[in-house]
Amino acid sequence: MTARLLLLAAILPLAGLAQLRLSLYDGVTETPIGSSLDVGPATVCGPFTSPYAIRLRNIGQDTIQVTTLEPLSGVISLPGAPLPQFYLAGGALKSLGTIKFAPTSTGSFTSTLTVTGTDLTTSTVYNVSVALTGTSITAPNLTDTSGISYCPGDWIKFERTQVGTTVQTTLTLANPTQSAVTATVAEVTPTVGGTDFGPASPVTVAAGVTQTLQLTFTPSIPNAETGTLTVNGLVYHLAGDGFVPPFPQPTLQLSANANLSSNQAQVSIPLSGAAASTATGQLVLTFQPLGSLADDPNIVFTANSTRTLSVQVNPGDTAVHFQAGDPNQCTFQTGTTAGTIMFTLTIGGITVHTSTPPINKAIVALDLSTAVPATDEIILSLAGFDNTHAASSLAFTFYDTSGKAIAPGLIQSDIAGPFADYYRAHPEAGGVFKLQARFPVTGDITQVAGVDVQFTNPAGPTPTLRLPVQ
Amino acid sequence: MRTRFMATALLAGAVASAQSGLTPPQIGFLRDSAHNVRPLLGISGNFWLGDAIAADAVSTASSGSASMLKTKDSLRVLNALGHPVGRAWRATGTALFAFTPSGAPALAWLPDSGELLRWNGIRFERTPTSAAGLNGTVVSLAAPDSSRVAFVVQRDGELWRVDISLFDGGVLFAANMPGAAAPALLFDDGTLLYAGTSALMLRGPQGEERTIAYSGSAVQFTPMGRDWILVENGLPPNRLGLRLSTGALFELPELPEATQ
Repeated sequence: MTARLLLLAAILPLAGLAQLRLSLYDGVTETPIGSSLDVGPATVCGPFTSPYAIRLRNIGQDTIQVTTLEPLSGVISLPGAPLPQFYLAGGALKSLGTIKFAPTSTGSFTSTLTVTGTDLTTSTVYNVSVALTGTSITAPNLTDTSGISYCPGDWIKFERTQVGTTVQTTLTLANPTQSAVTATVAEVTPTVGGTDFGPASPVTVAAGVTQTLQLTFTPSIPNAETGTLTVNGLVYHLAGDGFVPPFPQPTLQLSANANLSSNQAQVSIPLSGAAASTATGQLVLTFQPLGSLADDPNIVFTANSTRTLSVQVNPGDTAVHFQAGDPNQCTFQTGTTAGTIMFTLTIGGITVHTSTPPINKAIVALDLSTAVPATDEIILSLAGFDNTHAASSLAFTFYDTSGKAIAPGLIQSDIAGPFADYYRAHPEAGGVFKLQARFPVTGDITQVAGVDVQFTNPAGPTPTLRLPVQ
Repeated sequence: MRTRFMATALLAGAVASAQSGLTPPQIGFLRDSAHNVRPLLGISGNFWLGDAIAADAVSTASSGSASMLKTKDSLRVLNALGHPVGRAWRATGTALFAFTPSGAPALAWLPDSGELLRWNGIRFERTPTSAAGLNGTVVSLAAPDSSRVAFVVQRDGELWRVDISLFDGGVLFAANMPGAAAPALLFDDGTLLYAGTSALMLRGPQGEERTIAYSGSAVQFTPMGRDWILVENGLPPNRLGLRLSTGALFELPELPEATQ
């Protein structure tokens, strides 16, 4: 009987131990801690702080009152742990924070993590302890070009960096130890497309040697990124911030003749600043005819005879470029129909609109006019445009070589019907026309020296045009 | 006899009639970037291209009332509507053309064979003129009258005008054209169009010069209609229309497929 009681007494502490469990938590997984735990390495220059949290879990069913938790301070400690006393319900856990190892000299250091708690139901006292050991080593001397020294655990920050470009930080790494050290750069959260921190290959610094170490940051996406520089197990933190500058504001600039019919006008698109990245887009032209006038198919970009042009911006460009025709400006025809031409540019996530001033109704304009004598007739040819598509009358007066009007004098013609029929039959012409009229002549045709021509449309009569017959 | 017009009613009838009257103005014909021959329609500043009337053109030129077309293996004349006229001439390579002052087809120069052909209204026929006597590269030619051809010949980087008899092939006239350089285009009245520095130059028969502001890089001048010259550029915009009477330059519309 005595032997059995002793055995039971020996077992009780074991059962008590099992109610409290310490573990390491990496944010995803809990890993139970055994009877000992190595921390570090660390240096006098820079303490080691574990990246893992220590968790205390009550794996029993009764509430446990934690009465002792140490060390909360010292070379190896849990400075963020809650102060006892506190309660831990059955199945509950408590984060004890992270272990900090802050040696005051080189060498080995030890400490014991101790947790004591009492089962409030059974009054059983539970103890759990872990031997903590850490090694303090001689740190390499790491400084930047401005003289700032870095200790393990420090943050080395890169300046804000535009995506696709590289920023460089030059460090001096002095290795005071008796053996070579290796510096390795890694990214904490891998970025799609590869590591943005460099160098990609480890750098070895021989014993007693001072060497330059070029760290780089080349962000491939716009976000804040962290990495590590590990020198012989000593970790320095890297921080970078990649950004994409906003697309510069484009402005649609039209040449001054854009509101005149039968003109070739230009569009150019300067940017408010230099573009930082490549972008493609489109410039689209639309036409709103005045009133009930039909569309004018000749209002197009000359580079491709359409109303859409592809555009592009490359890094460093201060203007949008056209992918057809002249890259610096595009030409469009203003057509021969009254109305308004509108432009919409879409590029770099920006949409910009502009339009020409109204192309107002104008009097008939003649581009090429001839009056040619044939055997017994005068052949009059008039090529031009009417941007109202509604010319109503045409008047002629022929003159002889002495300047006198030839009978019957003023010849007037109602042309509204024929012109309306023509524009209906030739929508491809916009407001352009070529009129040929034949005037039979009796008598001496060589006496016919000239002819006055005058069109009238809703914008008014044209100035009288005197054509020589030749 | 007193001159008089039978006018009012006839004019109204002419304007209203289906064929009179009113048509879209056609400037002439040109070879587009895809080597098709198309009518160029419209007026100054407002052009459009019509449907192709021929494909695989190597060279073409138009006076507005007639055109000459050289494909890879044949040479022929087209009327004002772009329809073939007369008989084709079998020949390889490119060609240069000249029209009469009234715009009728006159001459075709075939650099490959060094032959000068004359259009007789029905077909082409050989002339006694050959490359042998020119002592250079023909840049342009004109037909001042029915008896002679006026060549612009490039000799050691200089342009020379060389007039040759169409009857016996004899040289009638030869003179250096100082300051002028290829590309160049000679007109029947002796006017020469050539590319100067940052300008197009029109040198009249008496040597007077007119400057047309131009910032391109001309590689060829080709007649494409009455009063109109096609200026082909080495840089975009690739094709400009020069109106000789006003000196105005316009961009000619390109077709979508030409930009792809």
